[in-house]
Amino acid sequence: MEMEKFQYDNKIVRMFFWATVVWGVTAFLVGLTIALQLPAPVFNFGTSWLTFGRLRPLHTNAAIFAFVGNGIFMGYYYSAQRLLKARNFSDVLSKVHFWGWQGIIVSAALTLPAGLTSAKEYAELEWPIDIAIALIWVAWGVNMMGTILKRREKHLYVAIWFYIATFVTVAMLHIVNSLAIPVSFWKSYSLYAGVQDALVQWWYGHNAVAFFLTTPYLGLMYYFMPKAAQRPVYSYRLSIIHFWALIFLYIWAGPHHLLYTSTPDWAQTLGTVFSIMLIAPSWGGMLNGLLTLRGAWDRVRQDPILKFMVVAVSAYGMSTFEGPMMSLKNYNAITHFTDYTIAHVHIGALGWNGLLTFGMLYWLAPRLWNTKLYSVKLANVHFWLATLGIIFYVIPMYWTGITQALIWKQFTPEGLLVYPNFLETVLQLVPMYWTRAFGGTLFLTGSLIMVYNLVKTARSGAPIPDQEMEAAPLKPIVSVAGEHKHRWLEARPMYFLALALVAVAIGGIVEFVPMFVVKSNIPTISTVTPYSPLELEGRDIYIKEGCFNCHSQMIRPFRSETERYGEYSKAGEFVYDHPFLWGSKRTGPDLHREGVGKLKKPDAWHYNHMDNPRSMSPGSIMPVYPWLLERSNDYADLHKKIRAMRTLGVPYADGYEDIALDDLKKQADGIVANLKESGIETSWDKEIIALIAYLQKLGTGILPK
Amino acid sequence: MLSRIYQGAEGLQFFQGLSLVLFFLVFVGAIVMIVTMQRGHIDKMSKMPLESGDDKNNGGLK
Repeated sequence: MEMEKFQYDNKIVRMFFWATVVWGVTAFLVGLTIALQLPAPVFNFGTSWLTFGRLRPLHTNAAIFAFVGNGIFMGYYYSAQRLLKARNFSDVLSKVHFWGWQGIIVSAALTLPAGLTSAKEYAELEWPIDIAIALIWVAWGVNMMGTILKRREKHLYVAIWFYIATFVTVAMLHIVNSLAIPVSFWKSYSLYAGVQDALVQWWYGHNAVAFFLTTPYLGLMYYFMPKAAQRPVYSYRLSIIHFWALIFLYIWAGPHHLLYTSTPDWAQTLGTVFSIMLIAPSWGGMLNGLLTLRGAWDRVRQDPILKFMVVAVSAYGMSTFEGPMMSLKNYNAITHFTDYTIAHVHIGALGWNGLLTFGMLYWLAPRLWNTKLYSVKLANVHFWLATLGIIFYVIPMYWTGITQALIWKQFTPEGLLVYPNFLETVLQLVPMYWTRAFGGTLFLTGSLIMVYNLVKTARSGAPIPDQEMEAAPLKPIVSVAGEHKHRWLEARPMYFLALALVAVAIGGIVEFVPMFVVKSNIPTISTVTPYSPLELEGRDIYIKEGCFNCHSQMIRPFRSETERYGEYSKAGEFVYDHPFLWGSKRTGPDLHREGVGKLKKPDAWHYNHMDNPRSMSPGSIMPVYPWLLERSNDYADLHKKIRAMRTLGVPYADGYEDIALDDLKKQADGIVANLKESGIETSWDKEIIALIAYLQKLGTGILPK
Repeated sequence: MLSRIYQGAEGLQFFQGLSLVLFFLVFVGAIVMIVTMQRGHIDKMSKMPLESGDDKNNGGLK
């Protein structure tokens, strides 16, 4: 057979290599900043651009899509070409993919601190950027499938299946979850409301973890661990089971993020059951990774790359055991809304994704610059700093999480809350927040040492030009009677892609269809009314400032919660909430009954509290929001917002958008008059007025009219 | 429990059976596939990452 000569594109790998390094350090730095903001609000710097509510989404987006995203593409472009024995389908598409992805990251870095957000966790970017993400993602997908189609290796290695599943599933998740009605270039409302929005969001959110942070990295594990260990993968059979079981089961588990909320019990139970089942494929994959090192364990003592990889895969095992445990209702009742979740995700993000990425970077650097690693010693120092950093990060956060849950639920013998003031519970946690920041500092320091080591390595060598290869062309695929089914599938990538899509679509469809068509899932509450124009504008300010990052709006049916906050939240209360704002973490108290019962406060309290929270709640760790008192809003988009909401099914009367501003002014004047009685002079168009109106509306839906 | 969930949802009852059947088929199918797979093919596939022609440089580590 005549051999064909071709070249691997190493340049694109180097480009993603440096992007991974730069964005990794950036994500860690923003993470450290927000870690410091909790014990010391001074680190919010008194400016709207750098408050916790806006920087937290920047941190999560930077970690997931910038650091891990570039890590995926770096590993993909290196491994896929070699596993397929073909250069990338199109160099132009590779470049479009690279620069497009960096452009999206930069636009996220500009818009999120500016308060432009859709409020959906890990999908905060507004609709123009969402469209760009979809286009660039498809560019990668076309480039991948094109490369697969022109490959010179008949069968697809397991890493390639994971890449295909990643491409097809993230595309589906991103598009379905991002559907929204635009109001302006930087503002949109989610197509779904309340409970349905929550279900779609956590179907996305959970599977963003599954198909962005897990499946592509499993593909990378199946390539780079055998490479680093110089051993074949432990069990190819196990990898097939691992793959199909993982992608089929993962997609169902989203509702475990919504246990004890207003979502129907059947959806919550589905989430729990599938989460428990997920232990099997996850641990199958972990064991397959670790057992690949059989016969090479002695090398783990000397080789920092193997050290990084072993701890990474162990962290994957920990996370994927802990996740199902947290999906049990009794366990979730303690961990949810607390820092326990933060510890859990950082075992995954820092341990699994972080350390595997570092291992890949150290493995790739000498090969991409045709040299040897500048300093093995420094890589070892990095390994210990990163590992200790994770330990100093997660132990205080586990501790904090359990402490929070216990003191939230603590009653006196008379049946009263021991800590009725939420702030008392926060103040107990401040020392742990400092310890966490120390852990983050260690992790960041380690990564800076890595940057030095990698730069010195690159400088000591020269970039390897495109690597020359030769391989026999692929013979046309003809069906052979008796050919094994999976071999048949491995040779037909488009069928493979379609089957993977079917596997991941089933779970979503089985959950969504009943949720959207069965009326009894969301019982109607006749007293729940749409937001007034001023409340709607106030809600948008709440979204813009990222208040939902620290305050939930979901009172669970526990006595400890109804005692503290009031009546538990009902599904029917959220039918006009585009998007839902339940939140996932309580750094501050729940706000769902902020406008009713014992939690209701005078307008002047909110005014002074937003100006400086510590003036009303001494010791509070909330940032200051003085700009809300200064900034005026011209409400130019109000009529468009009303129209958009009506399109989404909110029952504003036809033509209401023409008189909405009058209603807004009337309500605002009432609040201004209230404030005046307390000696506060302000005008109707200040942002604070709208925010107060929204906060006073919260929870009133169940009051008799 | 399932029958209660789907009460009032005309035409959706088939979802109950469908999800069970799909589940069963996916897992039985996967098990049949791996049990009947040939040894030679498995060996070839599991060694694939090691045969991509880039292992001359050991990075100075081993």
